[in-house]
Amino acid sequence: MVEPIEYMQRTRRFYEARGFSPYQWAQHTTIPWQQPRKALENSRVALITTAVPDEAVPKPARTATSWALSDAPAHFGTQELSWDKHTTHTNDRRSYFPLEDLRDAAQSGYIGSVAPRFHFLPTQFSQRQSVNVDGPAVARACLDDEVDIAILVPL
Amino acid sequence: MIIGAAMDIVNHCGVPRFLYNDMPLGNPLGRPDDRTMQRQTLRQALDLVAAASGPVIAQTEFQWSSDDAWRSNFMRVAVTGRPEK
Repeated sequence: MVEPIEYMQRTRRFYEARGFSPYQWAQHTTIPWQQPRKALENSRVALITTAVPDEAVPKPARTATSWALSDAPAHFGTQELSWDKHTTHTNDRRSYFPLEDLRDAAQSGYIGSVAPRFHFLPTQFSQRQSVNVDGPAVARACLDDEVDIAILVPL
Repeated sequence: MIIGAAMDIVNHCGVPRFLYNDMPLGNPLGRPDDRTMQRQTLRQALDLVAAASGPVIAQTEFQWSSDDAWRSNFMRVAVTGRPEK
């Protein structure tokens, strides 16, 4: 296998070249762990995305939000996010938001069900906002929906 | 469970379960329109949730392409020290 791209080093160099101070990446002191309480075929699975469902909300005002699956846009807002725009595109929603494959998994009995809502986590420079506000909001929403497994697919 | 394409960032953070897909940022489930790769990536992530008994990082077997030139694209800094657009 090829060595993974060193995004932290590359990001540091990119922003240092622009005159910014180095970013301090988030790190858990202990890794949170919970053993699944149900078998996969009985589990309700939710999706969490950092792709933007509603671009009308300006970036500084974005907070974690929950959406009915029927409200998932055909194309999320992705242009403001940091991804490899030289190499690829995000025109295929299924390359970053696997709702169809998740529904197929439920239909075939691979998982129990798909949760009624998906959740948006804004890409935040502020770790405090993510840890103290947005993350807990998504966690509460998942508990409300009786989610067993949450899959975060950051863009 | 996290499915993503940035191994070092997620590994540094420390997460319960991470399935790493060696793709350009933007397509963590796999190549656009590659339904087999995307479906299999999701299934591998679900299987990882079922099988793991502690914090785990796994990697899919997928490749973006046989040509690795794409790896130098993202946030490239030119030899002048200036970031390339």
